[in-house]
Amino acid sequence: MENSHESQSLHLKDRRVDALGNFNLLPDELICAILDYLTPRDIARLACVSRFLFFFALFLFLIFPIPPLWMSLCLKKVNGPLPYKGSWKKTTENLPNKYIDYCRKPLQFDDGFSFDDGNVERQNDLSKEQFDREYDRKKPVLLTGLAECWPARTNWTIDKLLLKYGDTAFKISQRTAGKISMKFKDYVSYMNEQHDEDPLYIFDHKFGESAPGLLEDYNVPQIFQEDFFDVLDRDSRPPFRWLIIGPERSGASWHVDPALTSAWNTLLCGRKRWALYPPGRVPLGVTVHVNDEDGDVNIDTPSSLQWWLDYYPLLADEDKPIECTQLPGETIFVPSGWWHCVLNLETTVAVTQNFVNPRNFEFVCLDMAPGFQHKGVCRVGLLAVDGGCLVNMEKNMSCDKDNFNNSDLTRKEKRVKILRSQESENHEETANAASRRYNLWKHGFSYDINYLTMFLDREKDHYTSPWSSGNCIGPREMREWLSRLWVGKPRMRELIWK
Amino acid sequence: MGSTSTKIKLRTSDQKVFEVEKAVAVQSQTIKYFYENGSPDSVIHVHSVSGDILSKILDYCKKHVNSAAGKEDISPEELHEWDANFVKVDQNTLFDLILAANFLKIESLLDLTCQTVANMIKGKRPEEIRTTFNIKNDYTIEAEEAVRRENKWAFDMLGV
Repeated sequence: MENSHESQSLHLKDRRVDALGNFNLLPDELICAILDYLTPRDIARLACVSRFLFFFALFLFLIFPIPPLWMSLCLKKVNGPLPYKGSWKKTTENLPNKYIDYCRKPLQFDDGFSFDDGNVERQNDLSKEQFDREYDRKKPVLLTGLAECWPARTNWTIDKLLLKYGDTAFKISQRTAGKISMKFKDYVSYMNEQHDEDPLYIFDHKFGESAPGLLEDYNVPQIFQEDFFDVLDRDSRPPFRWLIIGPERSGASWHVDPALTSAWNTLLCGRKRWALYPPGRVPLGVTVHVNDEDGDVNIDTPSSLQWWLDYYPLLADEDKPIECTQLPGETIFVPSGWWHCVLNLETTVAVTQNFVNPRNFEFVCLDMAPGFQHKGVCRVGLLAVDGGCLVNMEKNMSCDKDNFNNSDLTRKEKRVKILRSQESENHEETANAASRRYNLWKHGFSYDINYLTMFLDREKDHYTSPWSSGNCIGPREMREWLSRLWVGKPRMRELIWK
Repeated sequence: MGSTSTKIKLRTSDQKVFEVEKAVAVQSQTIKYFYENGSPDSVIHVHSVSGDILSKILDYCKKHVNSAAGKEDISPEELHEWDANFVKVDQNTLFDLILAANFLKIESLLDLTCQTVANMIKGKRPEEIRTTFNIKNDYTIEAEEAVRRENKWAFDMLGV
């Protein structure tokens, strides 16, 4: 026994010599010190050099004892469907246990957390006219009863879906872009066993293609049926419908829907907590970066759970978001440009669709326009504009509303002011900053198309300017879309955008 | 002020003895510790560093102490270039310098040397890395294929 042990360690030593080459001269921590200077890309290539270096590469990711890194490491390593082995640790490889030490107490909400003191109106049986008049573009609303007769109402439980779609692969949400999908049965086993703070959830815009049967289980509620993207062919239209399945603690962090589209979201099982802010009102703790080259918008935000636990309590009552707890069978309407954040209170299954209708059409077009300032303003409001510029604009507005050509307004060198999340330890200061921000928002900013148009850069046109890579369709598709609408809907004359 | 003339005696692994200005020697946190906790006249045994390597390292320390104290008129760029030349040595020496800098606890030198090795890895293909560092490929063919497939994204820029 002793002998074999010894020979084994000798063997191990030999392997180290060979597989590390000259690095064998250095102790492990110095090898890590060197690898510290490498980019992830270099480390990934180093992992291909030899098995020993592969473990060093892994070790380097692991010295940060935070579970999400396990996830990103693991996700980076897979290309096909991801089989979940009960924990990220096991999934990642049979790694030495000593490197695994979760030193942080995992975030978790307690039962008292999920109160329903919502201030989103609930409506049963809303007519299209009433919806258009009272809610569309104006405020969110919860609609009860829309889904009562959907087969999905009874069929979309985890157990039933598992029977029918266990082997179907669905796309999974993740912070870094990438196309990870998992077989539903693997996802469910992950969901049941995980303790992640920010669990992965199914967020699949192709479910209609991979599981066509699901499309028969629901229909688009009548008041949301109008969608201008309908005129585009299936493969050139941007993603517009998503299947969303996730466990408690998961959920989409703060964002504004792509291209300023509006959305409806119907919950089939479980409860979701929602928080919403009107357009231009950036939530505390969220930073928006607008690229001044192509107008790409990037959002830095804590996870939903983290936001509710760490930031929400800092808010004064008047700064709190509009909130509600959505119950199974209920549909929430999220108007164009509204910030929202969702937290699943238990395992939820939901379907959501984004749409363009006559009341958000101009906003969607505006958002696709080149330039950056208007994109910033649509999302963060007047904070996207420098102080000096703001004064000019007020003058401009009071003198002549139609004269947008004031050179100060469109000056190219004006960088969009980046909104800094107040990450100071001083919470009071943070809260104050938030209410200052809110005041600024209350004064003057309006989510009105003529108003927002002022922030367009008149010197840029669709043909020569860089197209924002974040836009959901390319410039050619955009022109195609507009021209089809022009033909199909003669009454939409606001196509002057082009 | 008088401390600059104070000398510290160091003995290397190959029994060579160096007499070094205190200001230069205490660039090493290890030597500083031994000096402050031992008797001032005793010889400090830097048992894992050879004479050749120690003399190089003392050159480095001297250069940096002198430039920091303004004794030598050298711009940051020039010092940077001096550093770059300093690490233009064969790989064995470079690794010995890393080990010595680590043992002697000279932070800036450890950074410099580790960065140098990292630069030898950056942007290279696995085959090149193997040759550079005499690393034996211990993957089976299948395993190597798999790991390369998984890390394919890292090769995009190399055109391989």
